[in-house]
Amino acid sequence: MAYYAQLVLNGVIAGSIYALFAVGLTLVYGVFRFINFAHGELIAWGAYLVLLFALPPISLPLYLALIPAIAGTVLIGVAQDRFVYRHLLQGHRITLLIASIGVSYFLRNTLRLIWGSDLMTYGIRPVRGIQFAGLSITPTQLLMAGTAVLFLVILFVLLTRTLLGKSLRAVADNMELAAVMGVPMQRVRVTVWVLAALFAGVGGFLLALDTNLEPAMGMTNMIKSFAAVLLGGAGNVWGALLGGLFIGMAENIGVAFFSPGYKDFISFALIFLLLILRPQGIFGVLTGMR
Amino acid sequence: MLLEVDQLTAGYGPVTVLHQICLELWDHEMVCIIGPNGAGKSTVLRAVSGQLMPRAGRVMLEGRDVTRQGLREKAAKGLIFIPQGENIFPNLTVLENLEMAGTMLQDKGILHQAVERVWAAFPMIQEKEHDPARSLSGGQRQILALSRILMLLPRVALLDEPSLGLAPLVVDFIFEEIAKMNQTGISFLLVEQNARKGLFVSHRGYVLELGRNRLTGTGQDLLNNPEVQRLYLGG
Repeated sequence: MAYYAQLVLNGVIAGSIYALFAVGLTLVYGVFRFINFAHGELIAWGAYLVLLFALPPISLPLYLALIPAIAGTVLIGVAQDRFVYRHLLQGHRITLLIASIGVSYFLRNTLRLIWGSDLMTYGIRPVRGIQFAGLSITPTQLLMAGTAVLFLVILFVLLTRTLLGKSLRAVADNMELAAVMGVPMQRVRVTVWVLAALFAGVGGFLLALDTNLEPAMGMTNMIKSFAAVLLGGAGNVWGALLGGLFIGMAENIGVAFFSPGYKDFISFALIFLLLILRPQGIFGVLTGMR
Repeated sequence: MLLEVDQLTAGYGPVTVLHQICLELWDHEMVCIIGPNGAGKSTVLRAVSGQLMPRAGRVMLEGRDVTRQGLREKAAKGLIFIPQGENIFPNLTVLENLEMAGTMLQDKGILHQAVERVWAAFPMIQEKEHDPARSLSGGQRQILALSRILMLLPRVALLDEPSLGLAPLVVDFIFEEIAKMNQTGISFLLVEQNARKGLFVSHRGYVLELGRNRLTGTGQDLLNNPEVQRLYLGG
């Protein structure tokens, strides 16, 4: 019994990080109506930039390295829009999707060029988990869950209590009407990209803290976030959050039944099933951003 | 003259929809544009409001040339546009919809007063203040869209098909509310598919055909015009 409870706990923690990724991906979809396949690269760049600032010659402590690293990730996110997507908005949505695949290749291979393809770590020694009611949780896992909750609460407050957040939801609901009403579109655009990159970068760092860094980490996690977004109904922020938690739990509970090597298979299978059975998402009825 | 549209030409991409349209709107007036589908009625409102940049011609507001100004600038000068159909945010609450409608009101106090005006005029939507707007009935949605006029108190409101998709009794109610706002001094330039209703409530009307001015006159004249009756009022 404790074994399964432990798997659920691990699933919730992994899921909270997927939720951070998925929420950003779905925000971008909600406003710009395309799935940004380069979203995963923001995850990977977030993790690698921390490494850049933590290793010699800069050698900042990890928590300080995080600040310039996240700023850099946000810059990449805003630059994606500024230099690529903004110029394609008048075209077909499929053009944006394909452009984002191109951006994804570019960013991923730039990572390879700089850091190589080998696995890397932040070099933190593993710490024994804290025991609690037969369950074990490491300080890193606590940090992961705590940060995810903090960021999601901030997002909730932003979207429901501030004029900027409400404007963002209005643009996602009906962009043309928002423009007619004089909603500042430029500010909303930039906010969406900043949020998406911030959440991806922080999530990427936390994930790398718990596991390791590799150039393809963005791709793998992008697919999982995509599955979470589909579960929640594309564009639905709270749906994506639940979708992320669900994917994390499904993956970790799956370990009880098949080899951990098949972990990634679960999200692919979910995407496949959802696209056939319920393209509107299973949490589509929840009130959310859309 | 409050609003003067002079020789306005506009269109989308390679297609020219409006050819040298002229119309005028005086203080306190309600003017209706009618015409068959594809006559360019909605395009007139888009080009005048600044949503669509005209190719040629002029738009004058209170004697000033505002042709090249965008939606925000024109709204600041007292000309607003209520588009047709999906003219609310379904996933925002009723109150949040009003906050968006008043997004150009910079001051929180002014916004609060504007919302209070809406509640006083339309208690039926205040009851749903915190419900998502998608839970409103068709008539309530239209009222919510029209609330923007009460909030911003513009000189001119451009109104596209306020009766679209509503039951006849609800249409009467909506037009009564528009007439009330008109009596407080707001001028309306309105596009209506329901030509009889539109002309009946308006001081004057314009008939458009294939993007050109066809006829103009008082609402009553046009209603009695045999040609208009035959073409647009079903005999």
